[in-house]
Formats: sequence, structure tokens, C-alpha cells
Amino acid sequence: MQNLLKSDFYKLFKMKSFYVCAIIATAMAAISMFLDSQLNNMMQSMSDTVGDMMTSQMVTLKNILPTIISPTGDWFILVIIGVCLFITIEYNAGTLKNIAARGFKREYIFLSKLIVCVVEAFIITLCFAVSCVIFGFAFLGVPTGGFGDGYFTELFTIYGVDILILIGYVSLIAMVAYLIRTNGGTIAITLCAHYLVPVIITMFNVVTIMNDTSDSDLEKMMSYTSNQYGQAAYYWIGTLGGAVSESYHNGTIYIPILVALAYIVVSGAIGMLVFKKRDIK
Amino acid sequence: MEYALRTFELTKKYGEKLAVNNVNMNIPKGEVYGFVGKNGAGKTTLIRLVLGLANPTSGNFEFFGGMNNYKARARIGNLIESPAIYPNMTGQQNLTIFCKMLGVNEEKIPELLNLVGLNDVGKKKAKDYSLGMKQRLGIAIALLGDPEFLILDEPINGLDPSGIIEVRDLIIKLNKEFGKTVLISSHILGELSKLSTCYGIISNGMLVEELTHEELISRCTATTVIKTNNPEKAKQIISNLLADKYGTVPTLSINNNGAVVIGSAIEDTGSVTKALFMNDVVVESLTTAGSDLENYFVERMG
Repeated sequence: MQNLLKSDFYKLFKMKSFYVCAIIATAMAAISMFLDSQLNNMMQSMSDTVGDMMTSQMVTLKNILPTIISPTGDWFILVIIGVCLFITIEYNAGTLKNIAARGFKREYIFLSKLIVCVVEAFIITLCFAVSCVIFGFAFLGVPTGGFGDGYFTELFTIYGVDILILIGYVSLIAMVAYLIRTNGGTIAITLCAHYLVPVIITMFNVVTIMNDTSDSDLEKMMSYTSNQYGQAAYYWIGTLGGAVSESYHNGTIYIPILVALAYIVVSGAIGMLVFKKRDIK
Repeated sequence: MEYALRTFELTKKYGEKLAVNNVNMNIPKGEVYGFVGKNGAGKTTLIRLVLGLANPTSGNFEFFGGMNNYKARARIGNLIESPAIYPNMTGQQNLTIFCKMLGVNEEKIPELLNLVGLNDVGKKKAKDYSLGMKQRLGIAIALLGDPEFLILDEPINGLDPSGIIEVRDLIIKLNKEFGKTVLISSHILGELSKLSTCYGIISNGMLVEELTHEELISRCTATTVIKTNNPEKAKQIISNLLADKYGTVPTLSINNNGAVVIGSAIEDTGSVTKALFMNDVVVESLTTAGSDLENYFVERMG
């Protein structure tokens, strides 16, 4: 297993796609912070006309930091692409047979690749996050009034849960890669899921709210949002990151933790089973 | 006798099709086993089964007299179908990956590249290699870790004549000097016959025959078969005649049917029948049997 990891890490650090994804993630963060700063400038100038309503909508480092490693943003497609390519290259090049035929158990081959994929995802995420912090400070500056008491405790708790969600998402992508076994198909399916499932969740939310039997629209909305366990966003790994902060404040942080763990276990089990049972071409 | 590989009624079914059908294969240690069969006969499928790339439908196999399959495969090098290499990496990098995977010292890489004739490819990426170069790199990967048993599926595909000779000489050297057992499958019967010490012939998923190189030669030698009413007397007469006529006598024997078998094709059969007639031996039938190597394999493969 140790040798498999050494060889997989060597492969990862020789792959151009890994560096390209990391560089693009860094650039996306920088551009995003710059655009936010420009938006803030516009809102500041508009506040002279319409008052403080605009300034309250301004982007600050304080409200950005909790989201920077959440796998909900557009930048996460770079992680998806990186992970898909790393696993499927073995099928495309046919090199998986060289590994499997040398006496390595399939469980170890699967685990080694999963571990390296998690590290790859973490590195790309780190590139995005560090770039956000550096360029966030540069373009947005320190928030007025500082960060406040308890902010960093909450922040690192959220980061801990986000890392678990990241691992869950990588497990899911790996499972899809072992099921589909081609890089085009795997990337297509995971990208579609990344964008489509949140849309389906939104539709589900709207239908649920509309079908609520409360008298007013406000009551219907309140009824839905007060039901912590019934919200669909809590159960899809791609939207779970967006619910972590809210669940922290509601005392239901255990929901995203359990859901992330469930994704890790179930995706990992299915992926491993499929890989073990199927013939390697 | 020690065996590198034995299979016991090994079977693989895809839907209704029996790709490998109750195969009992025996590869003695230290031999070069030529695995012959038509396209789609089941050669690659059987190789994939024993290497753990496919799950058998039924049957079993064992390496090195019953060793655990995972441990045994660590002692086996293989090249299956087309060479599997990382296209965006150089030959050196490809070998480095497998060195790390197998825990082999990377200092052996230049020696291996030299052995397979890839010592001057520099920083060329594997995707830019010719088919022959890719094949050589695949063989180099198979040789990593100094395996005891080499399984090579069509290793000379895409090689030019000088490359074929180099690979042949390499396999013979690995077998004779280093005692490695080799299973080699190929369609090029001429090449197989130059290096194999034993053969397995597969047809429609079934192992039709296993034979040694000597057995193959004896079956492919042309013979003359003469059935008479007095085989012992006929044998003596023929021996005297051939000794007088040619100075040497080929092998003479009497088979189970009581016919005299001469171990070569006789052109002047008229002299033989005349000599037998003059000595009151009645010739009931006279035929020439046997075939060349290619015909023999083609007949057995169906």
C-alpha cells in the first residue's frame, strides 16, 4: 500500500492537469476578490444616492472567509476535473492492468487512488483559499470593526466540516469514475450533477413551499426554513457546504457531519465493490 | 516436476459464449511455453484470468506449486495486448512509476532501457513513440523487479525484423541464462518455433493439445507407411535396400497396425515395392504421412 501511494503521488505531481487546475483556481480567487472590490466601490458610490441600503450589501472578508473552502462555488469544477482525470487516465491508458496484474489487492489500489485524489482536491482548494485570503486582504482590506469575538472558532469549525464534505464529494466523484471509466463521461456526469442537482433542489424547495397548507406565503416560507431535517440542501453533497454556517448557528452542525460521513462510506463502498467485481480491460 | 502455472478446468463465460472452456494448462518451470491459437481463440482471456484481471466463471489455477496468487503475481512480469504506458510521460518516468510501485531501485532503469534498445530516446514523451518503441517499453516494464515468470501476449507485434530478432534473443537469454519461465502467445508460428520449448494449442476456448518441442518436430516429420502381410520380413528387406541405395537407413519401426513406418518420405517407392514383391511380401498399402509446422498448427487450431 505504501508503494502504491508513492507511485500514485509521483504520478499526480507529474500530471500537467493538476498544476493547471491549481493555477486556474488561484487565478479565479484573485479575479473574484478584485471583482468584489470593484462591486463594493460601485455600491459605495451608489450609497451616496440611495443611502446605507447598498453599503450593507457590500462584500467583506468577514462574510467571504467561511465560504472559501466550501465545494459549492464554480471553482470546484477544477477539483472535479482534476480528480476525474487522475482516476480515468489509468483506464484510458490501460495502465490499470499493469498495476492489478502485479499482485496488488484491488482494495489497496482503490484506497491509494482515493487518498491521492483527496490530497489533490485539498491542494487545489488550498490554492483557491490562500489566494482568496491574500487577494481579499489586498483588495477588500480588513473588515470595519474587525472580525469579532468567537469568529475564528466558528470559522475553523466550519472549515473542519467543509473538509469532511470535500472528502465526501471526492469519494462520490471517485465512485462515478470507477463506474463510468472514461474521462469524458465521468467529467460530464459529475459536472452535470454539480450544476443540475442544486437546480432540482431549488425546484423541490419551491414546490414544497407552494404546497404548504399555511395561510400566508411568509408562513409557508417560515414553515419550510424552520424544518432543519427536511431541507433538501442538507442531503446533496454539492449544496451541503452552503448549509454549514446556518447549521452551526442552529445547533444542528451534526447534520452536515453525518451526511458527509455517509457520502464517504457509501460512495467508498460502492466504488470499491464495483472496482473489485468488474473485469479490467 | 515443478510448474510455474497450472490451471484446473478454468472457464470464463461471457453471456452464452465460452471464451475459455475447461482449460487444464501446465507450464513447467524453466520452459518457454508457446501459446498458439487463432484470433478470438481465448489466449488473451486466459492470460487475463490468471493475472487477476478477470474473474473466472469456474475452475482454478495455481502459481509455483500453490503459492498465494497475490504473492505469486509479484514474481510475474507481464505484457498484455497493447503496451500500457502513460502517454504524457517519458520512458524513464514510466519506468520510475513502476519502480516506486514495486519497491525496485530506480538505478536499474538505464540498464533496462539499454536492454530493450531505448537508451537514446531522451525526453521524448511516450505518446510520440512508434509502436515498436512502445512495445519495447512495455517489455521493459514487464522485466522490472526481476520476475521469475514472464507472461508476454503478442510481444513482437509492431516490431521490425531486427526488433523481432532482438526480442527473440532477449527471451532466449532470459530463459537460458537466468532460468526464467516464459509464456509467450503469438500468431507468428515461425518465431514461436525458434524459441519455444513446449507448446499449448488453443481453439475456441479449449486447450486442444500440449506438447514439447521434440514431440512437435517428430509429428511434423514426413514418414512413409507400408502395410504388408509380413511386417518383420518387410522391415528387413527395406532396411537392406535403403542401406545399399543411400548408404544410410532412416528410422524403421512397426506401428500398432502392423505397418512398417519409415522415418522419412521415400521418393523411389517403386524400388521398395519391387524389392518386397521379389521376396514374396505382399504390399497392401503405401502412403506418405506428416506435415510441416504451419500445417500442423493450422490443422490443430481448426
